[in-house]
Amino acid sequence: MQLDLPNVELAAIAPEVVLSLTALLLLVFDALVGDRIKNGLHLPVLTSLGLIVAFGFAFTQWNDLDQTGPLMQLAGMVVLDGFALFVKLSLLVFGFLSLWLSREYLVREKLEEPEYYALTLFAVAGMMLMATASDLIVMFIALETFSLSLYVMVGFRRRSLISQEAAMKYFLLGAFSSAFFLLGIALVYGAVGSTNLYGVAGSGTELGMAQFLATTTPQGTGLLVLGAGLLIIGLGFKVAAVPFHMWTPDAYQGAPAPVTGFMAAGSKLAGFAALLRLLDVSLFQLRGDWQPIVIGIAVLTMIVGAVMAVVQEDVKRILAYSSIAHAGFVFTGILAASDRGVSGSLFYLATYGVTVLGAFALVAMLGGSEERAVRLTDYKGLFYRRPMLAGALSLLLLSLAGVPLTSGFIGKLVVFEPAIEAGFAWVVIVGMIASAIAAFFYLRIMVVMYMQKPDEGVAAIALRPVAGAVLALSVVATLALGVMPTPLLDLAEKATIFFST
Amino acid sequence: MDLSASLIPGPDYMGLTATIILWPLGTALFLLLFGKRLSTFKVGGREIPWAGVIAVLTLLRSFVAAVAMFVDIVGVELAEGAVGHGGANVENARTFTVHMFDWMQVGGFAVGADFLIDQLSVVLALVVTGVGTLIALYSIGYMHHDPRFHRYFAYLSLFASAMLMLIFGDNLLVTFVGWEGVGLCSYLLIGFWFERPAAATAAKKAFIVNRIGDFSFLLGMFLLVAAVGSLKIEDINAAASGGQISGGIATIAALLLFGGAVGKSAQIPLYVWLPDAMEGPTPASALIHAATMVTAGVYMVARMGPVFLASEGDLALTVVAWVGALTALWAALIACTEYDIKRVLAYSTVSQLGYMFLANGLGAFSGGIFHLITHAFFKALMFMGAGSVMHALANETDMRKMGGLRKVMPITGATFLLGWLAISGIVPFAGFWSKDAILAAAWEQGEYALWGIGLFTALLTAYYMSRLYLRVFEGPLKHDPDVHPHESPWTMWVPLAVLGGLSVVGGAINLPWDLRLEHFLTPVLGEFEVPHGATAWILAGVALCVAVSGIALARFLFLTQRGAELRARLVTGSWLDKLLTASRNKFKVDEVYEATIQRPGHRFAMFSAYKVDAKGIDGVVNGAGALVAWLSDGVRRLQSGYVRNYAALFLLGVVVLLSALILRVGPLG
Repeated sequence: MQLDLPNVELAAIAPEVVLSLTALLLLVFDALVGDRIKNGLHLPVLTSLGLIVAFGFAFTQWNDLDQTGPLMQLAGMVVLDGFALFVKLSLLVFGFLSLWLSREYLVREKLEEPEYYALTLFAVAGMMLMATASDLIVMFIALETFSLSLYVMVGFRRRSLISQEAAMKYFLLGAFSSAFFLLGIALVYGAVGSTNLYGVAGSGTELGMAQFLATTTPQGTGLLVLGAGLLIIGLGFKVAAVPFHMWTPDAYQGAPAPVTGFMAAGSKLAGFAALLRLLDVSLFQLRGDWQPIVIGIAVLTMIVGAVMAVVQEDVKRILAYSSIAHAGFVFTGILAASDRGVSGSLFYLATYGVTVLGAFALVAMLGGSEERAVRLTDYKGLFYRRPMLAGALSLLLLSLAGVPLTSGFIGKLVVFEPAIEAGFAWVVIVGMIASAIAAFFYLRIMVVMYMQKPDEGVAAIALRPVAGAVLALSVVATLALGVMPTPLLDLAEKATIFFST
Repeated sequence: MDLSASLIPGPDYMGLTATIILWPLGTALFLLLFGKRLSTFKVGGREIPWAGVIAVLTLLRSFVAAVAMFVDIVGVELAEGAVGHGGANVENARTFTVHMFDWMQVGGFAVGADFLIDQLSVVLALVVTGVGTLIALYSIGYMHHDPRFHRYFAYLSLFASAMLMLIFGDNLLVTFVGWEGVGLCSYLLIGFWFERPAAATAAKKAFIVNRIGDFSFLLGMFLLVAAVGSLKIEDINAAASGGQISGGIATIAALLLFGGAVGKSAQIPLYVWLPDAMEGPTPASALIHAATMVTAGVYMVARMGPVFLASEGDLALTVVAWVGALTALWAALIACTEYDIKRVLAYSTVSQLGYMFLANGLGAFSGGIFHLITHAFFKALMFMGAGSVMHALANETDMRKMGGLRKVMPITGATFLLGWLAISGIVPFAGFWSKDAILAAAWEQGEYALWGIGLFTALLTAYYMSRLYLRVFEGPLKHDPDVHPHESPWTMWVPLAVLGGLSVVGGAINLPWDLRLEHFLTPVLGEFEVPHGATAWILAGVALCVAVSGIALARFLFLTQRGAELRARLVTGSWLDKLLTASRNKFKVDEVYEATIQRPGHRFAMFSAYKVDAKGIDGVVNGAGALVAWLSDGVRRLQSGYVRNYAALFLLGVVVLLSALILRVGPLG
């Protein structure tokens, strides 16, 4: 009898493996010799090393793509294509930026523990797996991996009640949404007979969603459509789509500010990566069925995010609702169901991530000890106290508002334009109205910073060199990609090389 | 050691372009960020700040690179019969495009950061960097007391970079970036002493008036994109001379572009900002509001010549010519009665720019560029001379309080004399040649009316410049007894001497030799007809006579006893008195604008603000705002903080979504 063993090509997920091993190594290393190292610099350094090595692997795969073409590996569980690698590289960059921004914060708040770094690494690994997964089971594992890490990270301010509460809410609702995602997988399995996104003969999995749609009649797809709806719900929760967004303001407010930035950048990119592959590739044939759902979500998300942000008084909550609105804008890119829509969405997510990381880093810095100063009134006259910081925050806010010559403007352009081309002009008009409403609260922060005098006797703001450097990087990138978007747009175009059957 | 090899990065145009444009930009950023911390050093007992030295060296570096570029270009063999602007179909071998990077690509429309190197752009780059270097050197002396010294030099460097981008732009968008950049620097420098309300107001005025022109320029660009599908200047010009743009479209596009030029180059009706712009530091006026920025419009019209030539029935060119001629006359009339030394020069600049547009309107584009260059020499010289005088007289600008300064400021006086003779059109100084070329072109085309206006303006020019020179430098000393005029330091008089020399020999660049300017520019700007033989001599003779009469008149009126009596008699009650008063009031154009545009505009704004806006729009907006707040409040109640409520809403979403899907796919199974 011949035993049919699957071919285990671990090299395909080398970046994820590297990150996970680094995380384990870090925990062991710290337990053994951590006490002897005074300033604890080994933690971020080791983490950085892991991220850099993983980046090296992913980058090599990205370069090899021209020769190898998109590959399906690990018995059909993951695919290596331009899309997956673009997302992975972006996530590694987010991880790196967030790591050094977090460190300043952790040291200041006396929260620096090895677990934080290990969790960051696990989270990035999970997020990366989301983009590369070609099977719903793998996708679910990835989802849980980074979600669990984030639940803990949200509650990392141990002495803060609000942080604990936020973690609890996020965890409960996360579990709730996971149930729907799992039910979706079950329905898909019932319809297709497999949980694979593709289904390729000779790859270890003959059945799959794309293959099923290519061979079945439109009448037989009902169960798959319902399954897809549930998957959208599960992923919509992660990217904070309305009406599955209720956790977002509470979690964003409670989490340590750098973690909030990391969530806004990373888990949005990961969630949308899964949605993009699922809807625009595997279920492309079914777009007539899922597009109405996505339209509804997009419109609701853009409007609710923008409108709710208007009445907030807490900067973290303002940015939380802003991140909801941004999710809505990305949905218009998904809606287009075209290569340009995909590359536009990726450009949007990559640039938004860099910008929002910078913005939350500033919130962390300005917040001071235990994040006491995060209300709008605490930003009064910031320009007169720290003109450079106020300038940096203004630039990031302008980018979030989508003002020309910032990356945010180009991002909106490249997601709206494909949507118009695909015939969804009215959704784009709603998006523009939402942007106009959103401009109000971004400008409101700026008005407070520039046009009001600072209160007497406010605490000085400390800006350490490393965080300053990373912040400067984020600001420069936001501006540079607004003036000269072509290089990143070219990369995002390469990212539309999908594995396909 | 081969110095040139280390200074000049070889004949690669990419490197040279980057050097010319980016070094000043880098210097500007550096000075803005760190300029405050730079110290000074001493040379011969004089404090010289590093910020100024850095700026001068940067501009010098750009100038050297521009020279290298010029040498390279001249070295390229040129095919016989290459005539630009649709004159012939022989390719101009001295054209190079430098592609820095793809700027943006939206759909099928791509714009690169591309720079065009040809005879025209290189010649103008030489002028900008050369004159710019001299003016920066002068500024070290002029500005050395100013507390914002480093910022001044940052703006100056930024200006140079933007101006060079404007000149080298290969597509209209790059040119427009430079166009807006110089506008910004002009605004910043006019309002440099923003503590003075006059300066702040003048800066605002310049900015707003320029915005009108820029809007027109933008519309022109949009129209050309729509008509040609490209912003590349070569494509547009090829389409225009190839007849792909209809005459009507070409007319509208040309007039819209000209609208931009009218704003930037201070022509009727948008010239009003330039005299007020004299509130800025004098060297900045010399560079921006005399030698370079204000000529950007002249350059743009010359560069886009084929679009103007393609106009239906030459309408666009006729408009350009008449606007230019009338501006020249109008501004010269005002200059005759102005008493502020800088304002005389400002109106003179407006008038001379009018000559350049007259040349453009006659299709004599290289003639316009020739006058642009000679004007850059002698007008920068005179502005800096005026600055030197103000420096000596504790910032006095009223000519009535000056006199006989040549005795105490020999170098300033002597160099100013050269500039005066050059602008008056005396042989063999620079201005004579370039002005004569324009008038000759008008005569040859049978535009006798334009020729007549130009000639009369030449008379006025000679008169008002003589009036200025004689009042300030000749006659008895008149200044306040408290001030003690003195010659300026070497950093100030060396640039004056260099420009003085150029004002004398500048005309030689167009003497008949191998590289004569008009011939050199022909492959880019095309040719134009000038009279030959006896006609040419007679025309030149007439122009010279007119110039001499103007000077003689001024000399009689201002240096002789009888002239003074005549003036006293004339200026009471006669029609001439009324004319002079009108001129002295600048023909009340500012007041007319205020009455016709500003006040109705203000009234309209008030009406909009307190009637339409407060009652109508605010009602809608407040209503919308109230709606948003009400909605927000309602939804916020849902955001109760209780997980059970969140989960309930989540579930509601799930139910709605799944119901919709089930309705869509129908019964399962």
